[in-house]
Amino acid sequence: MNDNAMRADEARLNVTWAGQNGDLPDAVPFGATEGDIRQWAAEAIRTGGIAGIRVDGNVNLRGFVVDRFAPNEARPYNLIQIRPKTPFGAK
Amino acid sequence: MWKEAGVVVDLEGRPVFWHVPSGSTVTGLPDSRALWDVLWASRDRIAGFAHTHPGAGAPSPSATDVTTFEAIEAGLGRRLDWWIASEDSLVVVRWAGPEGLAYRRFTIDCINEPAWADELRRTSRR
Amino acid sequence: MKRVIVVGVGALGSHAVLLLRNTGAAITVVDFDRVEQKNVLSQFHARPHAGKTKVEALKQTMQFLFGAKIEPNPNRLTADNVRALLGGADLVLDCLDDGDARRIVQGFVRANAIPCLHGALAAGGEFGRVVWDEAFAIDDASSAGAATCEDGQHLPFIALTASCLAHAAATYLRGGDRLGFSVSPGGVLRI
Repeated sequence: MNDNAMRADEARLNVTWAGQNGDLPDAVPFGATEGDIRQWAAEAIRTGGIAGIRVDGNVNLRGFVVDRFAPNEARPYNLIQIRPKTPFGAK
Repeated sequence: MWKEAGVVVDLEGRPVFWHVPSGSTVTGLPDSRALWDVLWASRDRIAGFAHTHPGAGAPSPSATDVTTFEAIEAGLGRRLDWWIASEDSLVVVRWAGPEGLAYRRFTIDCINEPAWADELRRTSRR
Repeated sequence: MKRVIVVGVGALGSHAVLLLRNTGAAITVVDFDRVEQKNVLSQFHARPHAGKTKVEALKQTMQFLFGAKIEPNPNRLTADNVRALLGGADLVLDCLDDGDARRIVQGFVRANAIPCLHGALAAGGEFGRVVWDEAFAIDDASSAGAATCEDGQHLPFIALTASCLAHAAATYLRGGDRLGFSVSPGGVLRI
């Protein structure tokens, strides 16, 4: 994907699963819902659509959360990351 | 005052990252991007994560805890040890299978507690 | 609100934090060390706080004296946690006395384009420096400031260097100007 060609309302989607990490090949809308992001990421893992993440038909991203990052000096494009949640507690 | 705290522990039993976020409460540690960054960066070297629960007696993992254990293990691609320390007790929780949320608790005798356990309790009393 | 992360709250860092309390920035302090009685001679830590982590001690001192809130982070900076510790910063102040840790900071701020000011003290109090990262070459001799900072003799010089560091940080936070200083017993020079 050419990051320079990404529009301001688009983002790169980065996924973490099973100790691996990779990006969807195509940009996604930066404002996409969490549900859509979870679905696209899971589908991409199921079909081998993410370089760096092996095909996994048992992927389940429940318990994963979505972080969104605006561009910065080092990364001039929007970034969405889906990764495991990390809350802990007695309740 | 008691506020929940946590620590990432490496395979040698050493604390490698104290998780003491400002948003922690008496009964909870909030989701933390910073903690995830540490877990991911050190995923090949860590044994697991310990956190505190308020009160005394052998603590049990909450529903939040168990779903978090499952999610992190799915993200890292490996099983971890999950310790929970109360004011006077320490347990370790591990996946026992076969279902995704089938975690089992084991109590650790006081004389066998790792050195970081008391430090973790002290960190919670802040 | 801008976030300033001060790495190392020994002699230099603790005094810099004292002087940054009016900037309006959110300040996080990172240090794994604990207050010892001898630290009181040259560091802005209170004797009753011996045994506490320096970050917790400083948090309590700033709250008690000024009502100023700072965020404590009691971790040793490593390559594994540098993103977690420094990732949210608008400005990093490196007040470390360890060359290896400085290199981790420098590598991270450069890779992520995060503004970073380095404060350095030479052992024996010969000079101090306040240098923006672009111009900073890590010199392990100037990371040996621990020797300068243990007996209290150099406290005024430490405070002078910390003032320059705080002034440079506050100036940047106000308007983006980047000041650097060379500090010697003979005076302070803009660099």
